[in-house]
Amino acid sequence: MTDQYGRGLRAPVIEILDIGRYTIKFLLKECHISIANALRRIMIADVPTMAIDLVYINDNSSVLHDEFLSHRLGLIPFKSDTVDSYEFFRECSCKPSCHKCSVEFNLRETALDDVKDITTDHINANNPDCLVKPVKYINADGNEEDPILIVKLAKNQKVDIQCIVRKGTGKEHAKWSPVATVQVQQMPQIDISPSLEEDLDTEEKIGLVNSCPASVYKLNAEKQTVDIETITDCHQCQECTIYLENLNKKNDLLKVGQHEDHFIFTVESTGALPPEEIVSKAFTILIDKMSELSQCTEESDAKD
Amino acid sequence: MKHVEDKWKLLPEFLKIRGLVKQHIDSFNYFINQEAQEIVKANSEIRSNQDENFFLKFEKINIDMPSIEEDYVINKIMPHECRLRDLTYSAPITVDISYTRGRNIIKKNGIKIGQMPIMLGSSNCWLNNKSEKELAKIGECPYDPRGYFIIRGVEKVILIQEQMSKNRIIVELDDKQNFVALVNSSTHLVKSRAEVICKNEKFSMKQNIFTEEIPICIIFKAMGIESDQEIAQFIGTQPKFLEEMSLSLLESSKKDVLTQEQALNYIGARIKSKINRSGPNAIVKSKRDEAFDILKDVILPHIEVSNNSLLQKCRFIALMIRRIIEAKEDPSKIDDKDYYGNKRLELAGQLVSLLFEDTFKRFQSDIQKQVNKSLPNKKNREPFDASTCFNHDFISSALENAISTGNWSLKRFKMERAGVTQVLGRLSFICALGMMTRINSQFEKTRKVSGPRSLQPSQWGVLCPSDTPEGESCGLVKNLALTTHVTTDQPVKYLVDLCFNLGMEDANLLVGTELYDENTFLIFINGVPMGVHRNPQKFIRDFRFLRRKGKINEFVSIYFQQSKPGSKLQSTIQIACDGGRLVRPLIIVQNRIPLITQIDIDEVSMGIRTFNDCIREGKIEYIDVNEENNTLIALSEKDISLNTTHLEIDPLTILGCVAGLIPYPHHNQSPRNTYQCAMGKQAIGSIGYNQMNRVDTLLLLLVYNQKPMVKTKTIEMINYEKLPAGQNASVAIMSYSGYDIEDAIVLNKASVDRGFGRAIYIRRHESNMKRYADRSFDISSKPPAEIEGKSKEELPWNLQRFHNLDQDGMAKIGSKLTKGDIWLNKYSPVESDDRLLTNKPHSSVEYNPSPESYKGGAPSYVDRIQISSNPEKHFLVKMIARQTRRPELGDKFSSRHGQKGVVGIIVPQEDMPFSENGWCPDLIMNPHGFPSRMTVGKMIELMAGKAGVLEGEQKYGTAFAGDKVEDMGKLLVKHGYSYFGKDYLTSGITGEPLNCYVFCGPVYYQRLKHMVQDKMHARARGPMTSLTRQPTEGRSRGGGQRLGEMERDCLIGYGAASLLNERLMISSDVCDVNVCDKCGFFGYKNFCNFCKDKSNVYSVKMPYACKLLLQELTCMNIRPKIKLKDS
Repeated sequence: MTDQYGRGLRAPVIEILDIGRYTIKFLLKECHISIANALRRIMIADVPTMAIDLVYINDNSSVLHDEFLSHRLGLIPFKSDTVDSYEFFRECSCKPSCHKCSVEFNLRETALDDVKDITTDHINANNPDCLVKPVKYINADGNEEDPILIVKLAKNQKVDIQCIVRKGTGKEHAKWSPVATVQVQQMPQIDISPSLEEDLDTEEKIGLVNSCPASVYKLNAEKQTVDIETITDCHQCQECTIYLENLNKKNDLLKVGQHEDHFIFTVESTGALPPEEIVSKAFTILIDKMSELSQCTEESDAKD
Repeated sequence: MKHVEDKWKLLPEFLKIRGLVKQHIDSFNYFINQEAQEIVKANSEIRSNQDENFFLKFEKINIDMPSIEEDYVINKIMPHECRLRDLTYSAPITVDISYTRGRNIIKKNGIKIGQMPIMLGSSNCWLNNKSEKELAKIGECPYDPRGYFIIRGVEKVILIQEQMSKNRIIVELDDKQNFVALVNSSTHLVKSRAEVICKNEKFSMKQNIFTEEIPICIIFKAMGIESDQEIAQFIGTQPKFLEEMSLSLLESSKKDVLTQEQALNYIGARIKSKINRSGPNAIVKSKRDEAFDILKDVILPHIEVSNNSLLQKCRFIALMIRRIIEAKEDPSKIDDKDYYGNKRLELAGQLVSLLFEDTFKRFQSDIQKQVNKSLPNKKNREPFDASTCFNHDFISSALENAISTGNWSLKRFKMERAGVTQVLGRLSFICALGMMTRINSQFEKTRKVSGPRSLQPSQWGVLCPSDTPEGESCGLVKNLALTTHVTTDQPVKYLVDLCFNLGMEDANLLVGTELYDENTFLIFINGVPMGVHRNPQKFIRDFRFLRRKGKINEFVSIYFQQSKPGSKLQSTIQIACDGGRLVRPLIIVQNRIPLITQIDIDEVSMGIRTFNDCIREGKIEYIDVNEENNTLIALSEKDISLNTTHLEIDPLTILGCVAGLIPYPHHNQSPRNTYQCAMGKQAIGSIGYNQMNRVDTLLLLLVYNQKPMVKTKTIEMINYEKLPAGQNASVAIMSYSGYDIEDAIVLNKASVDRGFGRAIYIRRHESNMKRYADRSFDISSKPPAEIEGKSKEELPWNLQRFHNLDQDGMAKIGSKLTKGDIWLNKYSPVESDDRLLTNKPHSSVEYNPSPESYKGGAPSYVDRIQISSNPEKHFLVKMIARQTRRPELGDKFSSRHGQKGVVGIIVPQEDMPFSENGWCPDLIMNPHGFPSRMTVGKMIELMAGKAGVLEGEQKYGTAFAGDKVEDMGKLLVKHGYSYFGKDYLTSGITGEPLNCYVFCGPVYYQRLKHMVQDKMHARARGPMTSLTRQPTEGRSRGGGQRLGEMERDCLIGYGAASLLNERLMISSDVCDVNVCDKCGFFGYKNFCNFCKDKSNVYSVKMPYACKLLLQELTCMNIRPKIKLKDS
């Protein structure tokens, strides 16, 4: 067993393919599938962020009722770069709440003359120096996007809400999950047999190239070879092999498979944490979990 | 041929003027604007037998707009106010009268005689012609179907009632296989049923008023046809008719009835004696006159009698006999009772009119009684004024009660019907809409005949083939199809004149031989023979031409009833203009070209022209079920052949509005569509734009509704997208975890966290602050001062239940109510008899607490408290409590294909399978749901939905049309997905790829009203019933689970005696009794009262129910004796 899973035999490598404000795409090489999946799971469910967890409604004359509003507030992503400086609410020693585990915000708005949109811009921290605040999205051009709409108030309607933001994980509620989605795909592997060049005529080659819905292939006009253009786009639909099958060619001209231990990760952040932060935090959590596990197994070994 | 595209665009325009609920509204309008007037005209005068000169005449009736009189002020009233305040949406009925007072004739206009409940959306409703903004102001939803009544705050629908058609001859076999021709006649005055029956080769007439069957020739003779030859001529002179009649003719001469006088006396002697209307002025009629009056008024009353000549009736009876003779010869001539052309639908207007007529007559007889009482009283100085004895409440309460209870009991017609009205179901928009199109059949549910339940070919296009309940009322309760319209009564007079102008020869001028000649064709108007014509095709062509030109009402139908080619039977022409027929619009085709052109459709959809314009121009006409037999209707333009007369507007119109929600229904197994029709009504969604202002007892709303990704044309037409009931769930069709067996579904926890299937549950709690006879009243008062500023936990236990009360004694808005919390701190005055007498001041009134507490299981939040009043309850408090329910294990969900399932497990997102592009299902459905159900439509919905998502538009799954699977597959490929809609998924638990491709995509899912929270129940110990001391029954009473007879049998068979003993006695109603071994009676306190001895008394354990039984037997003088044995 140690041959396959043991330490030292493999040295996983990360190769960052792309990094943006909200997404990161990287290749995890030489890594067993279980580790890759653990990483994915941790990113979804175990990386803590901040989100509104408790709402005091002093006044609400909007069309949405209290629970509706609270639910909407809860799902707003909060900038959580400083999340490590806070305690989990349940682990904090304070009684109702304290500055170590919670941040207070308020939302006090009245529509005075016309319909008023209440957005995340209207959520104010009680402590203005607070670094935890609702996410402001910036689009590809670097401009700020419209804030998230919470509720529309008609004339003379009013909301007066106090929110308490707490630290939590996606395991408890999806609002604490730092990612919108984590894509993991095994690195596709396409083996084109050298004999393909001769076996197919040009028309068939073009057909093969066009058969792929994800346009993975490209025809090299000079050499009359079918090249692989964007291997990462392949999603194992097997349209190309089906195409060849229909041509009644030899079976082993083209083989579409996957690289067993190469994984392409695409992490889309909700904006609460920078994507690279999510990944590195996930690793830290993974290591913590592993060491906890090994500690436990050692303890039980010692008992025996 | 040029192809007309988008014929269906006519449908929304059609629905604007007809269809769905319009028939209710039309029929009610007809009643208010015409029939009410006729009823009053028919019963206009009241006379008194005390004074010949007295009269009271109702000249005119007028039904106003809805209003209410409160504190002597008349205010107009809006429907929403009625709902909130438990009022009736009704309008005053006023009449213009003239009557005699003393020697003067007095005219009075606008005297109120009562209140008429008004149908929402009818001509007398305030909601007419109101813009959306105006409707919003008065709290009304613009998409509300209307067509219902509001009685004491409750929305009531008068269901459409299906009946056999009136005034038509129906030939059938009775229980003893005799041929019977029966006619249900109905006029404003009388309803009667006459039968001509053929028994032992002899014809006779059966009527309820006769004690026995009267030979038919005697009837003829009594009606004035004395000679046998004449009778025979009436029926027909062909040998077969004469042969059949011979015995009947013989019979009358055998009975020695030869003249009209003899016949009348014969009949007179066989009339059921009515309760003698004794009175000083009662006119005693002779038997002969009585018989004549019955022939005139009771037998076939729908046929006109002019100058005391019963000739027309004779002709009709002869026709009945002919029909029997024809049927004897050719059994296919027996009428099919289930044929839809023989049915008529009774709508709200007709039912209310029956009720109003009856009530109005009783109202008049009430006045008459008072007049009779008061007139002879000449002592009064003032002459008697009849207008003072109008009782407003009489008509109002009679109408209100009938509509609110649904009991239509009209003594005059011996009509006793229950369940005519139903409370409008406001579970979802579709539920309410579906109720408006529902047809209730008068047929008995218990009888085991399949005929009335099965789908009749003649129901094509007018009734929905899918929408019917399962179980006992299957096939008896039906729903209208999308374009069906129900006619209202039309005047006959002008039709008759028109027929004469078209060359009809009057039947009165002809004898039987001429009437029934092979080359003449009888013309019937509403089932009554009116005349003959020699060139029927021309007549019909001319008639239809006039109808298409708008000279005849568009709903009048004419059809040629052709006899079988070989037979010598006569073909007839039937014209119908009576109410309750089902009609539907069809495009007219002439010379293989549909008259509707692309220009018409463009103009109609642009709003330049209306649907009615197309009818006026003779391009579309309404065809009823009977006339359909003379048509050849093409489904689509390519089907048009040489003989085609009409073209369907769109095949989707054969479905109703509820079945119209199903995408690709033509790909499903038909029962699945029926199941969805039942479930679509239980889906939680939006009810109306005013849903948050309503005060229904129970309201279920979905938090985040979505329009379906795959819609249908029907969905667009009925505004389902404005008030949807469901969400587009990302579905993966695969097996997962084993918690998905038996149709259970797997939910994604993250989706649930983010609001999938989240519902609002709103319940109304009511309390009435009463006012008592002694002028004291209930009060609500502030809670104990100690609760101020303290949370519930900080309060002592006895004050906890007051914790959310405000200073007015009512719960604070937004506060949490848990079981037992008081929401209204009400006090009732202590009853005292002397207060009235002694006139003590109110300050001395003593009060007892009678608080209203919250009884629901799960906690709720106070949403609103409404204080209102109405004439009956003058201080009405309604508390609206609200819960938010997220889906949990056991909650019921369903797609739109009759595929229901409960939540089996809720799985964290990280455990869910995911695709390479990060997609993760909201819901996993087990593929075992497909093979046996054959709901291919659901798979196509998934593909179309997926293609739609990728394209960024909604796709169509319209019945018999819709986007094609092939195109959907191509779209999927275009966006880089598999043609077959399958995706490559990875297990979320192991990270390994799944071994197969999984069919994934969005499917519209509905959350159904059945929720675990309302049903879960368990009990260890709990309340017992007082009589038997056994555990109570049912969840609401905290009852136990019954170990029933069959379960008991199992245990007996198994031999588990001790378990049985424990279950049935010890854990139930064990009871210690003293039994005297000597006499066998029960003892008491170790003493036998019978033996007066305590030496033989032993304590025995037995079920209390057993002890009770023995004692009850003893009470009945049966002596049960208990013998004891050592165990």
